[in-house]
Formats: sequence, structure tokens, C-alpha cells
Amino acid sequence: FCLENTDPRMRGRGIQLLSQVLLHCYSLLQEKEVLHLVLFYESRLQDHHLVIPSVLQGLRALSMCEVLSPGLAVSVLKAIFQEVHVQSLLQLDRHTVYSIITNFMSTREEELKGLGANFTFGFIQVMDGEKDPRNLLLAFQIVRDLIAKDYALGPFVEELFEVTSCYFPVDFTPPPNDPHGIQREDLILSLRAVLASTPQFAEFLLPLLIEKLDSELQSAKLDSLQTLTACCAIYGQKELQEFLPSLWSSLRREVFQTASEKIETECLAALHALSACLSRSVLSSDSEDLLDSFLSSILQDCRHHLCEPDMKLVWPSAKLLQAAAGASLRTYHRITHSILPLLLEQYTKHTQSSQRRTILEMLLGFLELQQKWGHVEEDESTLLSLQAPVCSVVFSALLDPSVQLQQVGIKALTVLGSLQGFLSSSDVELVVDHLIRLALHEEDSQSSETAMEAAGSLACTYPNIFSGRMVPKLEEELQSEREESYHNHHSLQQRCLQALAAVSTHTSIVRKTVPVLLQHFQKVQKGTEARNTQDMVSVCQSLHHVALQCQQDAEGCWYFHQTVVPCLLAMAVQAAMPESNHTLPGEALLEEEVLAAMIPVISAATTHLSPELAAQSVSHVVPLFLDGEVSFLPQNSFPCSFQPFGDGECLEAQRRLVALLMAFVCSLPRDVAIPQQEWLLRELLALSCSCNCPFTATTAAKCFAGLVNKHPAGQELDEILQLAVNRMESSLAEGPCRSQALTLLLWVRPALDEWGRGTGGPSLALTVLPAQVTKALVLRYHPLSSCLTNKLLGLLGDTELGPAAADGFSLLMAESPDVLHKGCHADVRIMFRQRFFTDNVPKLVQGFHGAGPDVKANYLKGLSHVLNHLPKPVLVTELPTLLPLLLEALSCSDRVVQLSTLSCLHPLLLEAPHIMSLHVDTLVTKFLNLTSSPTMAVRIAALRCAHALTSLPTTVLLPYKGRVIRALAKPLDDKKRLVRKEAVAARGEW
Amino acid sequence: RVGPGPGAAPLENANPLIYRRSGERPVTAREEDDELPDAIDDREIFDLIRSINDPEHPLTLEELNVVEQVRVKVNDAESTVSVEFTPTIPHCSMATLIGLSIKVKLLRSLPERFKLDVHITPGTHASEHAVNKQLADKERVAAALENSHLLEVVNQCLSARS
Repeated sequence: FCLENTDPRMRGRGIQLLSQVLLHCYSLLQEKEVLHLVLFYESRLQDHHLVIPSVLQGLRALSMCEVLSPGLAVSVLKAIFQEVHVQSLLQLDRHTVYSIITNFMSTREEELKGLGANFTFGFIQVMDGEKDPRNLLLAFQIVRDLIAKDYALGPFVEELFEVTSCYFPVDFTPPPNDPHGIQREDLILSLRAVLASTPQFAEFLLPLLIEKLDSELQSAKLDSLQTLTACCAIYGQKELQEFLPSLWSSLRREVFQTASEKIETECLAALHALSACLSRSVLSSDSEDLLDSFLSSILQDCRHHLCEPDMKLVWPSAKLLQAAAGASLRTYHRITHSILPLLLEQYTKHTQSSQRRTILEMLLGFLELQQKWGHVEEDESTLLSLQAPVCSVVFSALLDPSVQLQQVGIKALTVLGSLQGFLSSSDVELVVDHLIRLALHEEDSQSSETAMEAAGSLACTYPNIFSGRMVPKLEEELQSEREESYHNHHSLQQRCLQALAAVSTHTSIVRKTVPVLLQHFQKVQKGTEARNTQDMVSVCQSLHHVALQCQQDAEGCWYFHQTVVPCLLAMAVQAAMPESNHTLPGEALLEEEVLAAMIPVISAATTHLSPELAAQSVSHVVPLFLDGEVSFLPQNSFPCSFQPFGDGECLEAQRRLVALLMAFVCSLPRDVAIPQQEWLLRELLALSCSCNCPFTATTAAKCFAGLVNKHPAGQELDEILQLAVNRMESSLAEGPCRSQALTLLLWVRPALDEWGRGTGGPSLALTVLPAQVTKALVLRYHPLSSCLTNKLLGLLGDTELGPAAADGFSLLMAESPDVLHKGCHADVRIMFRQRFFTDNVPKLVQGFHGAGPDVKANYLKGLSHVLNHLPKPVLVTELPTLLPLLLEALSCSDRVVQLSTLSCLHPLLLEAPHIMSLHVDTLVTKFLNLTSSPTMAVRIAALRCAHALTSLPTTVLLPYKGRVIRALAKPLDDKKRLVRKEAVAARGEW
Repeated sequence: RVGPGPGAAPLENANPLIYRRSGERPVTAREEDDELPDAIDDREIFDLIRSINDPEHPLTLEELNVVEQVRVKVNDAESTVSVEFTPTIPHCSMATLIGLSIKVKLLRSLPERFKLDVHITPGTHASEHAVNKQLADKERVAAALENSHLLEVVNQCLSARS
């Protein structure tokens, strides 16, 4: 009844109801019903315009029916194309039309193709004039399908191109608060996919691209270049032929003149794509070789610029040539054939180092391209025919006094070496000699470093030559006792050590270098020179370097572990024997610095072991420490027993070696069982609580923490933790003063400086232990961790231990280098920092408000440590609650707090300017005050923050402009240059 | 009025000689020491102006050798700075703009006690005298900076490179 009402509004509503019903139940319809409905709806298309939207809805429902009989899809579309003027409809209804077309295209492809070019034409009319981005995305998709699925375009190619290309280049800014989330980038990519989908568009598209490339608009240029690159993937010679000259001249102009690096990169990418496209096309015998003529024009325009190495256009030209040369093997041969001899000739022609350097850098660029093609081909490579002159040029660069030229020479050498079969073995020997000379005797440290790196990478390719020639030479230099000045000799030895480490990139070389390094270590240890601590540290650094290099290679890693770890342990144990303690030589080995340097060596040698091998090794090392079982060490005849956990005065030295145990045990893979773990943990706990030496106590605590972190959960773990907590509680409850007094009495030597150590040591150990243990637990969310954290929070209120406890927070949040990080296989849960933050910051804030004035700073310090290590996105969301506290922290007199608060605020200023704008008044005042702080670091940080203030909205800043600029005039005259530099940057920006 | 804005006309000198940039000044141990004062020296002034962009090339004044460290003289005790700059070609219409940029940069970056003198290296520009006179005239410099278009061009030269 409604459907036949004379009032179009009523009819509309009737149809709307029917359409809504259909949208819900279209899948249940029978074929006959569908036929009937379709015919009804088609006839309604001629109805009043108010009715049309509902009719289209109904048709959309029907277009999703699977039982639609053949022929109906075509007739629906014909009816729509004929009866409906789509572009006069509302956005939503246009969207419905596109959906109907999309539905039919996905299910009735064959039928629609029967329509031939008429379908395309119909669609062109539907789409013509579309403006809404949501619809455009759909329409572009339809065009892409039309082309990809090979619908007949007939005579309408140009129309189809016109109707889509009119949107190029896309100029669209999504409105603020756009709920649809369509970005400019989506439209660009979608349109590009259409335009670059068929070579049939080429004759229309290329002129358009050239026109846009010649325009002033940066974004239009970028879009054109990227579209051109995309087109080259499907175009062939035929499409490009006509436009090559103008494309080239536009590209050349852009690269020669542009200020934007982005445009330059895109131009080069487009040129690369063009050349690649041309080299792909198969030549028919009668047509001319387009690639050849294209490259000729490039060469003609760029070649002469290469002869003027001082001029601005030399690099753009070289880059253009390299982009073209990188496209295919053919382009590479064509271009290098002309360019390489030219560059070599220019190198000899120009004599200034800076000019030679530019030329050699260009040459290097071309050599690197050769790497891309892998091996040097015997018959046609220009490079091979130029082998001798190239080598002589590179070698001459190595001898040049200019450091920069040397470095380019070394890089070129590395590239040449990596080209299989380019260098003869006598050449390689020459190369090795050059590298030795540069690595050891070159005065400039940068060149020497580059030479070592080059040696490292070449050593992989030519291990035999390097281990046979370079290693013995280095060994000889290392052992020589020349009558030079001490300083020279020392730095030469340093260089040798570094070079030995650098060259150890292949297992066969590692087998040669490690014994040399160990031997040198022993020699230095026995030496009596004053600097031997430093020397030992540098040997350890070299060993660490080697360890890192052979981690990936199972065989090398095991060799290294097996050789180095027992040797280091043996030397340390030897040095820690009570007898040798009184004689000078061994002692240096036990200094904190040296032990600290040995930790990473052992750790790196252990982390990558396979579990079986690690288990084998652990069964030696742990008994060594618990039972004094020394039999696996080389030279294991020691005068007395090794008992690091035993009691007694004279064992202090042995206890220090817990550091080495920590390095080993804490780096083991998690699934390696540690023998007698229970016992070991108890000993470590006792040591960390009772030892007077901060170093030993700290490392024992660290070791304990590392083990606890990996300990499987269960009763055993709970017991040992309970023990630890009790231990800590009892020592803390005694009151720090009393426990210090107690230790002081025990401390026999009454020297004055010992007082200081006596008071500092134990209390420090007391806070370090909980912090370490807590960290171990926080990392894996153990329930006890919150109890321990609360304890730490409580300590903040203590006047004496407060600062140390505050630093404990930094320990909790920071990544520690030697234990408890992922590299050591520690159990680190994701987001532990965020979790810690949400759990504990409210307590810190609360504690701060309740605390007395003398300890407030401790809370602020703890808070700023936590914030410093938190990922910035989390920080920004929590900001409104914390900002008042941070602002208060700025007025705190402790410079550590000031510094960490400033470094906390700096990223916030850049990332969350809107929140910070609310506090601009306070911020400006505080920052400007801090620019006159007595500490340089605070002044610098304050100026950086003042600089970052400029990222706030201009309207917020304007009232402060004059004041800030005046105030910043003062630090311009700061006595420190580094401060002045920041002041200049900040004031310039304001 | 000083020369056209960037990109408006064909470049006067399309393929100029370019020079190597000196690296960042290495930070010495002395500079890290909180106690010792560091005097303002030639290199510090040069560091201020070397990264100024040329109005028509995407290059710095240092790369075009318009400014050189040897042509910068500073006397910290007497609070004087003298900078000589060398236009790339004798008819360079940008000379005044370059001079103005240098002057503005120094005005913004140096303590007020300093007296500035920015002029063209003798014998390197056709209208050397006129340009020097313009640059030395405080009122003309101030008036030039009132011109918002000109100020924008100067700020563009002074802005850090992206």
C-alpha cells in the first residue's frame, strides 16, 4: 500500500522499510523472489528523487544475493547508468552505488565483461566529478580492478585516465577530528596504483608527470617522481621512447638545482628505475637501442662535471651516473666503460689531496656498485682490465699524508678485496703490509681505526694470508722491547692489541691471536712497570672484542671459552694466593679496574655457549669456588688452597674473585643447571652482608641477584629469599649507625682514612643488596618484590641511608652492563618498568608529601630516577599528575635532582607541548633561574630546556619573548664555551 | 632593497666552487672542567657564522668559502669582533644580504659588550664600499630588520639545516 502511495515521501519510507528488511535477509531469498524484487527496484529507479536512496539500498542488498539469475546484474547496472545521475546524490548514496558495482564485479565478472566497453563508459560517468575521499578510495579500487582484471576499455582509455588523473597530485588535508581516518597518504597510494597500473595510460600520464615535475610545488614533484618510479615497473621501451629526452632533462635539472635531499633521492630512484626498465626490454632487430642513446645523453651531460672536483655539480653528476649504473649489469658496463678510465686519469691529473679525495670517493661509489653484481666477469668487465691502474691509485692514496684521502683509500681497498678474484695473492700481501703500517704507525687515530676495521672485514675473505702475515708481525711488534721513548712504545703496544682483536674475525685467526693475547697478558702481569694496570685493562678489552666477534660462530666461541676462561681464572687465583699477596707483581691483577675489565670478557665468552658445553664448563668453575677444586686450571700447582668463601683475614684477596664467578655464572643460559646452587647462594648472601669491601659486597650481591633471577620458582627459591629478607631486616633494624660502629671495631687498622671507608662500606652494601635482589625479582614479577620495594621506599625517609636508597631506584630501573640483562639470559619481563612505575610512583608521591624537609630531596631524586628510565609515551600520559612534583623538583637545591628533572622535562617539552603550555610561566622562570647555576651541566641542561620551550605554540610564548631574550643574553657571556654554545642555540631560536 | 628571494630568478652562479666543511670543534678536557674559564676565540666566532645558509644555494657560507676562519678576528678583552666575507663573484647581488645575515647572527649570539664590524674582504666586490657603508650604518640595519619580508629571508639563512 505504502509502495503505491502518491506522496513520494510515503513511497520512500515504504521502500526504505523493504530495503532494510532485505539487507538483513538477502541470503535467504529464492531465485524467483530475487528476480521479482530486482524488476521492481529497477522500475523504481525512475521514480521521484526522494525515493532513489532507498531504492539503491535495496539494490545493494540484492547485489549481495548469491542466487541472482544470470543477466540481472547487467540489467541492474544498465538501469543505474541510464536512470540515475549519480553525482547529484548525497555522499552516502554515491557510496551505495560504488558498493553495488564492487559487489557485482567480485561475483559476476564474466557477465559484466559481456557488456564490453559500455560498462567502463557507464562507470566513468558514475565517477566523473566525485569529490569525497571515502568514495574516491572505493572508486580508485574499482578502476584498478577494471584494469587488473582486463575489462574491455575500448575507446575509453583516455576518458578513464582523465577521470582519475584529474586528482593528481592529490591535495587533501584530513579535517581535524576526522572519524574516518583517511590520510592524504592513502589517497596518494591508491591513485598511484591506478595510474601506474597499465602501460595504456603512458602516453597521457608521462606528459602530466613531466608537467608536474616542472612545477614549483615540492609535494607535486615528489608525487610525480614516485609515480614515475612505480610506472617503470610495468612500462617498456615503447611507452617511454617519446618522452625520454624531456624526462632526463627534468630529472637532471632537479638533481642539479634542488635544495631538498628528498627530491634528490627520489630523482635518483626514478632514474634508476628508468634505466632498469630500459635494460629489461628486449630489443627487436630494427629499432634503435634506446638504452644506449639514453645512457649516452646522461654521460654527455654529466661526464665533464666529473673533471672539476672542486665544483658544486661534481657530486650530483656522480650520483646520477651511479644511479643509472646501478640499474643493471648492462648499464653498469656501459657507464663504467666510459667513467672509470676518466676518473683514473683525473686522479693523476689533479694533485691536491682534497681533489683526489673527491675523485677517489666517486670511484669508490662505482666499485661498490660492482659488489652488487658479485663476481667480476672475466670477459667484459672494464674493471678487470683496469686492475693495475685502479690498484696503483688506491695504493697511492694510502701513502698520501692527508688523513681523509687515506680513509677513502682504505674503504676502497675493502671493497676491492671483497670482489672475488680481483686481487691476486701478491696484491693481498701488499694490502696486508699497508694495513699493518696504517694500523700501527699512522699518527692519526681515525685512519688507524679505519685500517683495523678494513683488516677485520678482509680477514674473513683471506684468512690464510692474514693469519700467516699479519698476526706474526703484530706478535713481533708486541714483544719487541725497543729503546724508544716510553710513550711511543706504549701507544704502539696499544695499537697492536687493538689490531689483534680487530683482525680476529675468522676462527682460524682467532686460534692464532688468542694465545698471543694471553701470553702478553701474563707478561704484563709479571711486569713491574707503573702502567701495567692500564695495560692489563687494554688486553682485556681486546679479548672482549675478540669474544664478541666469535660469539656467532659456535666453534670459535667454544675454543675461546675453553682457552681464555681457565687461563684468566688461573692467573687470578695465582695472584690471590696469600703468599704472593705480599709481593708486588700479582697484586695489580686484583685491582677493581682489572677485574671489572675481565668481567665482560668472561661474560661474552659464556653467553653464546650451547647448553651442553656450558654445563661442562660450569661443572669445573663452581667447584673451584666452593671446594677449591683447582685441577682444571692450567699450571695448577698453587702453594695453598683457594677458599673465597672461607673466613680469615688473608682471604680478602680471594674474595674479590667472586667478581669472576659472577661474570661466568650470571651469563649462563637459563636452562643450565648450576651444581650446589643452594650452597652457593647461601655463601654469596653471607658474603654480601658481612664483607667490608664495597666492591666484593656489591659483586656478591649482584651475583646473588643474577642467580635468584634465573632460579626456577618453587619452595627452594622462597626459602632462600626469606633467608635473604631476614638477613637484611636484621642488619637494617640494628640501625645503620650501630652496625657501622660494630664493623668499625672489627676493622683493625686505625688509620684515619679507614674511618671513611668503615662508615661508607657496610651501609652501602646494605642498600645495594636489597636493590639488586629487588631488581632480580621486579624483573620477573615475583610476589616478594613489592615487599622489598616498600622497604626501599621506607629507607628514603632515613637521613643517612636516604640518598643511597634514592640511587637504588636508578639501579632498579637502569640496564646494568654485567648482570641481569637480556644478553645474559636473565628473566626480564616486558614492561617491567611501566609496571614498577604504576605500582610505586603513587607511593613515592605520597611519601614525598608526608616527609620532613630534610629528606624530601631523597623522594624527588628517587622519582626522577624512575622517570628518567621510563619510555616517553608512558610518561606523557602520566604527566598531568606528576608535573607539579617535577616543577617542585626544579627548585630543589640538589643538582642531581635538578639535572635529572631537566633531562626529564626536555623530551616532554618536545613531545607534549600542549600540556606543558599550561605551566609555561613557572617553566620559563625556573629555567632562566637555573641558567645561572654554579654547575656547568645544570646550566647546559637548563638552556637546552629553554631552547625546547620554543616548540610550544607561538601564542603561548609571545608574552615571554622579550624577557627570555634579555635573560638569555647573560649566558652568552658565560665563562664556559659549552654553555655559550647552548645559549646561542636557544637565543637564536627564540 | 636587497636581491630577490631564493628561487625567483635563475641562479647568478650555477656551478660555484665548493670547499670542505671543517668538522665540529672537538670538546677538550679543559672545556669540560667546571672551574676554568674559556675565552671567546676566533674559532668560536667562526663556528657561529660558518653554518649560515647561502641565500641561493643549499650550501653554507663556509662551503662557498664566503667566510674563512683566518678572516675572523676577535679580541675578548677589548670586546671587539671583526669579520671579513668574500662574495663568490664580484657582482654578487646577494652581498648585502649575506653581510646582514652575518651581522644579525652575531648580534643575536654575542654578549652586548661586543662591538661588531662586518665588511667585505677588500678588493673582492664591485660595489664594496657601498655595501660596507650599508652594513656599518646601525640605523639602516635596524630599518632593514623592520621589513618583515627581509627578516624572513634573513631568518631562513640563519635557520638550522633540516
